Amino acid sequence: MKGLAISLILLLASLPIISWGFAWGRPLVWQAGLAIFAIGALIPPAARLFSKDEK
Amino acid sequence: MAATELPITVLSWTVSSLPILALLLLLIWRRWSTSSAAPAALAIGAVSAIALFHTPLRTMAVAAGKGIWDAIFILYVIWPALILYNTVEKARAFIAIQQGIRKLLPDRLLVVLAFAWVLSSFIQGIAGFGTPIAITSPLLVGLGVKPVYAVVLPLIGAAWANMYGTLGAGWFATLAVVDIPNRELLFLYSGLLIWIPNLAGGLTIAWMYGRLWALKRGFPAIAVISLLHGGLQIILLPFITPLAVFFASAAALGATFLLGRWSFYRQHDEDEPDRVFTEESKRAAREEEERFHGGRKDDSAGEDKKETGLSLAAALAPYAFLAAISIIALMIPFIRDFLEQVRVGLPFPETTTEYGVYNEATDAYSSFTPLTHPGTLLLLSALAGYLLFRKKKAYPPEFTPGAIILSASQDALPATTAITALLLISKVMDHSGQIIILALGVAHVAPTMAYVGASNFIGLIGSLITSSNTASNVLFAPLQATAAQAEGIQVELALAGQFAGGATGNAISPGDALLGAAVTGISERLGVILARALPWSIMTACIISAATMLIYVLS
Repeated sequence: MKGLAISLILLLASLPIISWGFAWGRPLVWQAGLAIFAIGALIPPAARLFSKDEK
Repeated sequence: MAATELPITVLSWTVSSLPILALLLLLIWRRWSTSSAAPAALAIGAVSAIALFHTPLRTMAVAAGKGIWDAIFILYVIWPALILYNTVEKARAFIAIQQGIRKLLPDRLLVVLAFAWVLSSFIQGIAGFGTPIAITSPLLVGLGVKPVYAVVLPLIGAAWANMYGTLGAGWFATLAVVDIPNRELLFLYSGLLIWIPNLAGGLTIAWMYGRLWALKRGFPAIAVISLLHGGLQIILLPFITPLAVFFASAAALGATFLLGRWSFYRQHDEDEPDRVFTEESKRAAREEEERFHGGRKDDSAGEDKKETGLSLAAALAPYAFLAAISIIALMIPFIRDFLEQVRVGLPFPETTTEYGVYNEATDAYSSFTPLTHPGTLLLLSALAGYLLFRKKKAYPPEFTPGAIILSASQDALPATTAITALLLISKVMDHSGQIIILALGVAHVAPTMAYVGASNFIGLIGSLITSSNTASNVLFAPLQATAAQAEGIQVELALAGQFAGGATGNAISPGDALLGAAVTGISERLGVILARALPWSIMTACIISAATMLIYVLS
């Protein structure tokens, strides 16, 4: 559950960062948002692959 | 969206289908949870978008932002639906609903048809975003139906109403992207083809309930309800397109209660199967039958109220409130226009890929009207229900609203990440052109007659990938119209196939299925739900294909 919560927070946080990056014309900002999004999206399957307990 | 240089090859078609194939394989075969499977499928879609379809990172970032925004729309239905469910459940109101409904509609098959097919279609006539599933699935669980069936049955039951439901939202969105030479002909063709998932839905619900026994017992009711649904829809579409499904479903709802008074549906049968009910509800039904046959006068209102503290009317009050405010907010034009003045939408720049897949810039992408969104209506209904139940002392003395929120959160969290990932798959595939390749690939290889038969499968694929019949039509209606003209087929027939396929595909859309799973507390069983609904969708789509080809030959 902790992993899901962190994943969700990162995904939701990436939205305003990406949006502001484009609105302000700052490539580094939206790229940071995309990176945060990618990390957030990969947490659940990574946890699944490395977990021995999940059925 | 223009896509002039996309390679339509076996390789590109196969790669485009990988995200969806991977998702279905991981869910159904490997039994991964959706919160793990969906991001894995998203990763496959993203890698192929960048590596093979030459999608720049900039476009990927915009697709990611739009996907998360779309997810928030749906999550704002799931969380309030779970809050409403827990508000009702903690007051033990579902017990009162179960007992009260049993007296109004003693026949349990009729009850299941009433909720999974008739009520879900009625709600679909007014509100989308998965609202029918969000409301009827918990009610079915409260009536003693096993959670998996509580999700599968209304998914199948409400599928037909998707196209012209939601007060015509899908229809108007489609009109904005495609020219229709003869609307009356389209209404006739689509009304006939959409009647197929409607009738198939009722029959399949009965089949799942109790095989041949239920088909025989349910047939009179199914025939009457389907005649009203399908027949009234065809009659009303040319005159009041946005309200055709609403009125057809309302007529069917009234007919269902009248059918409940018919002696045919008030007879007890020892051989009645109980496949779809939990052990607890089977036990309660047996005890009630013993009381009835034991000759005890059933002081129904008094006994029920004593056990739960609530009458049927009080227990259903939050849902009646929901229906009332939905009708007021969504169906009265000047009120709707006033409330929709409050709009929130994020700006996104234009995007393109090296293959020329272009999406326009927007100042307010998919703007959100919080005052008419189903989530707000659900929250208000939950609040009204909480205040009523607290006044009637239906909650334990130490009970706090925090318990409702905590319980809802525990059910919603696994589904939240999953829903977000599912919608992101759709957006990434859309912005990279993979969805276009899937549709065009079918149209390019199929000879004319085969394309006629395949047109509804294109709509089904669109619904499956985007979890939205409307999105499927917006994406593929222009393609279908263009392909039809090139093949010498009536545009109206190709579009009718698209509409019927899109509606049928909604029964297996992972987004709606996951929404139902979330509100019934079985988020981890999405694979089981899809495995149950998939045969229905494929069988119904095959029948629609045959009917479309028959219309083509006869016209």
